[in-house]
Amino acid sequence: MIAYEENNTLSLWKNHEKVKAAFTTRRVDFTECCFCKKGRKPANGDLVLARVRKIGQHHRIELANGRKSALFPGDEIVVAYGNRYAPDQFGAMVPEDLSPCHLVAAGGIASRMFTRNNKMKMPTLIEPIGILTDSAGVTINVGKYAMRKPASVPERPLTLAVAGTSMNAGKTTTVASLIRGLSRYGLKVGAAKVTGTGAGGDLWFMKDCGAALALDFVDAGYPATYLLSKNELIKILDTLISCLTVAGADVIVLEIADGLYEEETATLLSSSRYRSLVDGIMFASSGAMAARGGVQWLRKNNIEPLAISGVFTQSPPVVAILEKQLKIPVLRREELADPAIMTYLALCFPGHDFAQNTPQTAIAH
Amino acid sequence: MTTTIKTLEKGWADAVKKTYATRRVQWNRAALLATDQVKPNPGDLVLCTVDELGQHTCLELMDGRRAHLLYRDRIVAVYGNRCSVNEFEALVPERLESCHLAASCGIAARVTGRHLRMRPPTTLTPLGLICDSCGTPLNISRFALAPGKSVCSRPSIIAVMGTSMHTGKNMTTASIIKGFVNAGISVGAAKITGSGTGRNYWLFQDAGADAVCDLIDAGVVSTHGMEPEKIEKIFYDLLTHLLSADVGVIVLEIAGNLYQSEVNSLCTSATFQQNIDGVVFVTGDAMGAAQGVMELHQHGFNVHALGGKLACSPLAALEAEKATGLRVFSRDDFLNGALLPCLTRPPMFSEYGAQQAPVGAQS
Repeated sequence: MIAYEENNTLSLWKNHEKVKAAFTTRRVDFTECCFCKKGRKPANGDLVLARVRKIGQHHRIELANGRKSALFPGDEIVVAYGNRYAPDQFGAMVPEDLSPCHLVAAGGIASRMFTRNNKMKMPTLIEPIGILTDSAGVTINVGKYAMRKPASVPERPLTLAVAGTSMNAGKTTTVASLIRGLSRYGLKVGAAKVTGTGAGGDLWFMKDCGAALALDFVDAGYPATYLLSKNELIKILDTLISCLTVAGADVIVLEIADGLYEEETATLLSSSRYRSLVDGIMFASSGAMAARGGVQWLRKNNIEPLAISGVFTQSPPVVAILEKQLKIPVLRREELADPAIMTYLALCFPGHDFAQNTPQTAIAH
Repeated sequence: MTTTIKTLEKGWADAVKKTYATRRVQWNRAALLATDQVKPNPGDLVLCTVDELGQHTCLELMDGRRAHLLYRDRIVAVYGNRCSVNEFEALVPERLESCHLAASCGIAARVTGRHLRMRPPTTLTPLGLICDSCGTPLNISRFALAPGKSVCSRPSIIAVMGTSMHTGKNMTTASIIKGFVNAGISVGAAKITGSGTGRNYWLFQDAGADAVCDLIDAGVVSTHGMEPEKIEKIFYDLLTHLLSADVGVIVLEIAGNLYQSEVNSLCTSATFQQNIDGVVFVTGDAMGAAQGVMELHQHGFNVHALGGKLACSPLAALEAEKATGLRVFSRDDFLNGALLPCLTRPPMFSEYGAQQAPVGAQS
């Protein structure tokens, strides 16, 4: 059970199936983890072996394969230090030392909570045992295992992004439905979540909807994107789009987490590099007022959304009002998930060479 | 009339969602698809398209991930009968015809009744039974675990039983397991009756059990409507498997209530009675506790303690303690080793087909 011994050596590490390694550590080669060191100052992305002390909000931890494993006091987990910005859950920052801190995301983020939504319980309390290092004693960071931008990248395919008014505005549903529609049409869809906090939920949803490949910022080397610099954010965007292009995607669908008022989202969308990498944006909104505010913000930044969608589409009167006021088509999730969405996209991008329509492969003949 | 057989295309399995119920299947055995004039049997693998989403919008996959289920998805499910008083009652249909997803672990069946709180079930259109290269339908029983070797000694065995679904049985069982693990004792755990959901299987592993098995390992997806001998055999196979893992204690969860025929079959089986050293009875109220304990005593079982939702209410717990003379333990009590004093030296292992011993004969 105990993976760690007093001499810092990860003695039982080789058969560590009882140590629960979180989704954020999915790219890590654990055979390179040799020591567990105390007394280090944690940094964003550093791997930490910790013991669960008191179960709070997150009573399960997501494993690399997407299964949510039940947590018990005393469990040993491997997670990554990271900052989290989630108005519906927690705000948290990487602490200064290895003193007890919190599990602030089920995907596996160790951090110290500084604010929480009233609906949340206290976060699960964890007790860091030590930072993982390689045989030379160098701290292991998830960035070590990041995908690198390939040396030569062919011309990228049509790239669409989905942004939203806030957390839980229906962004993921919009992204997922769009992926569903495009993949049912017969396109090989590459999907990526560009900002947010490391967790599998959205990536698995993208795959379940038919994405051939789904990546996120963890694949680009960051456990979460809160407080990252503009350059780092652009690097993530560029790396993910390049990797999806090289993997042969016919179309790329990106999810930009959180609302437009969130610092990183605003930075990214208003950058010129973003404009050269993304062809069109769909905007997801929770309600009418937020949709108007969001569209105004986008227009001020010279971005005209292709369509709006989101939670508000469940209310027909709101849909009617918004379509009239904003003069932007409203697409409900059923419409996005229909292969006929391609007809609309072909209108938006006249002259674009979409891949040949190859209907869903037959299973038996 | 002859069966219509088609060939499964190379790579077919990549494009489908494979349910938890198919956890043990060796996919390289799948070669053909029988699409017509076949009668499904419990345990047969069926390739289906999802038609209309109802109660279940998620599907448990082989590796335990809960995947989103979408209109027109293709899934591999397993035919099975299911009886869950809080969800669905469902039976294997006679033909390959439109049916339902009766459990998120991947049971295909025709739903014949449902709890009022359930939405209508998700509907499936079967495309065909998955067959081997000879055209024989693949049944999950073919991939069952081989029974463990015969042993003569055994560790203590604890059964967790309860009044009904949703009384906290899963978490009670997990807490009991974790309590032993915390005390440095290796644990074997299994769920014996009910349907083959992965929930328990993974939860027991998460709680630190060293050996875990469930109905899928016994090659069945559900025990509903099974003859008593078959249920006894499943118990025996899974128990011997855990015994061969050489663990310090075995914890068995018995799904369903004492009145369900399969649970009743187990309770009256001599092999079962003689191999269970004690029961933890899980319930939500004192009256259920009193009745359950009385019936367990009538079957000759020793009852260690009470647990479950009952423990959340101090007043109800007091009532139950007064009515039964047994302690009520909370999850934390179990985690802190409340059952450690119950690990007395157990009697010898009772072989399959043991004769009924006089009640109270176990040491």
